[in-house]
Amino acid sequence: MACPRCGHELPAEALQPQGSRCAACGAYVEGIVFPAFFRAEERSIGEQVVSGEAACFFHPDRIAAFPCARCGRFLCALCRISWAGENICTACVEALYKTDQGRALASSRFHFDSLALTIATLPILTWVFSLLTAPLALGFALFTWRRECSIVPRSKIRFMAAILFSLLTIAGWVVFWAYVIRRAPHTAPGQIG
Amino acid sequence: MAEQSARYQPLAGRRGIHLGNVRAWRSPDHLLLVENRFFTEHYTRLFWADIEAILLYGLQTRSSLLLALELASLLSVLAVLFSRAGWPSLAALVFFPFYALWRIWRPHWACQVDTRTNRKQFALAGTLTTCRRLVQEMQNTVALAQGGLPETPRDQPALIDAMPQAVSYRSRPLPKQPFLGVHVIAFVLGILSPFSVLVFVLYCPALIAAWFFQQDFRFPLAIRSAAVMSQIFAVVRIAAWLLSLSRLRFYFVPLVFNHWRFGLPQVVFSLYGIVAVYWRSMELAKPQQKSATVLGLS
Repeated sequence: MACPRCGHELPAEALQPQGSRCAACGAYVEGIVFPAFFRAEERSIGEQVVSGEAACFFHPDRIAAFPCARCGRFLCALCRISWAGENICTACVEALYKTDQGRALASSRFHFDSLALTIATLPILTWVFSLLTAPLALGFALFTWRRECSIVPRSKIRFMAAILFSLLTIAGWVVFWAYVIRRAPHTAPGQIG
Repeated sequence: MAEQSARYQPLAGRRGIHLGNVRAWRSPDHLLLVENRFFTEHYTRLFWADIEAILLYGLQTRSSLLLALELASLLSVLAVLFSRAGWPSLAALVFFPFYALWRIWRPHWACQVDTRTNRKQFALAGTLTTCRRLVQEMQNTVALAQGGLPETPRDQPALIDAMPQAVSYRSRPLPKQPFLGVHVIAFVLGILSPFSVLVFVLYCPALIAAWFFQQDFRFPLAIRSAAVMSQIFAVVRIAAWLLSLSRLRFYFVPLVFNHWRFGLPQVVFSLYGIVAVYWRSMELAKPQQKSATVLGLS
């Protein structure tokens, strides 16, 4: 077994609650092994099919062990995918990706709220660009408000901060331009100077 | 969305273990690791029924000499920068203890979870006791899912006894180490930046890249520390540079870009970086000596 920190070989005593130290890097390691470690080998090897027995849909030479809960195909131990308490096949997993239920299989999510907040706040360094980015951030935050940013609990605080910051920036610009226009010299049309 | 989110509960009562760039959540049938990369989060699901081993191990973060050196160099830099200033020295006095606390209270422990096809590592918060409690929670959930563990695994090592002494653990490689090149680039550019504005301009994006890449807790302490210190120094320099370009006349504006007062911090940080990188090279040498392999050739 390898040390998680340096990859050096660890003694078997490391897999005990008392733990042990890696001889190479000195890292303290303690761990526990679960029954799945011992079951893994036997589960990976499917039995050969004999005449008269149901065979796996994907591996005709292997005994079918489970039916797919969605499409009913017979599956061997290798092909079975346990998902939400059901045994399903790879084809059904692919189909699930396209459905609403497939969110549980999502591999990534984009943080629209963080991007909106960044667009709203980053131009504070170069304030001139905030004339463009503030409305952009406001529109982006409102447009993506209902989009799913994460499959784990995540508050709307970033969206709210982005909207608030954008509104404040826009208000600041309105005040600034109002001040500039009021201070500008009034000239009649066609009059020079 | 609400139904989906409700399935995930924070591990050990925390709202997602959020150290480094990985958070851990639990659901009835799996452990969800959420890894943030820029504006995207990526998910890894480790099903309780498939988990083969959970390891708790110490990180390379308790190198007290390097920590003391880092804090001393930061203190000296702040003292030099704000020696004649008024309120900025107060800001520095507030900043330093906060930085020191953050620096000391870093994750010291990490967890490795192995399944048949996957191996994931993530940092844990708190002391060894807290981490053990968290690992215990995971163990209990795995035991419920697999139904084969004794009630108190720490007291009843029956499972351990059943394991052969010369365990042939499948040779899965360790997770790929984070890319360190960007730190080297940022560090070299940082040292050379006083001599050229162009180099300084290149230094800034390198730092931003380093900032994102160095979040991984598996970075060696020395490299990570050097990168963090470079970033802090760069922020100070960028702020001073912007102030010198602006028409605002603060009374500490004489601390302009390339002013002599920045020379000493530059030297201090450079020395710190050299020591840190040297320290790392020493740490790397140890396992190679033990395993008697050099560059993979035995």
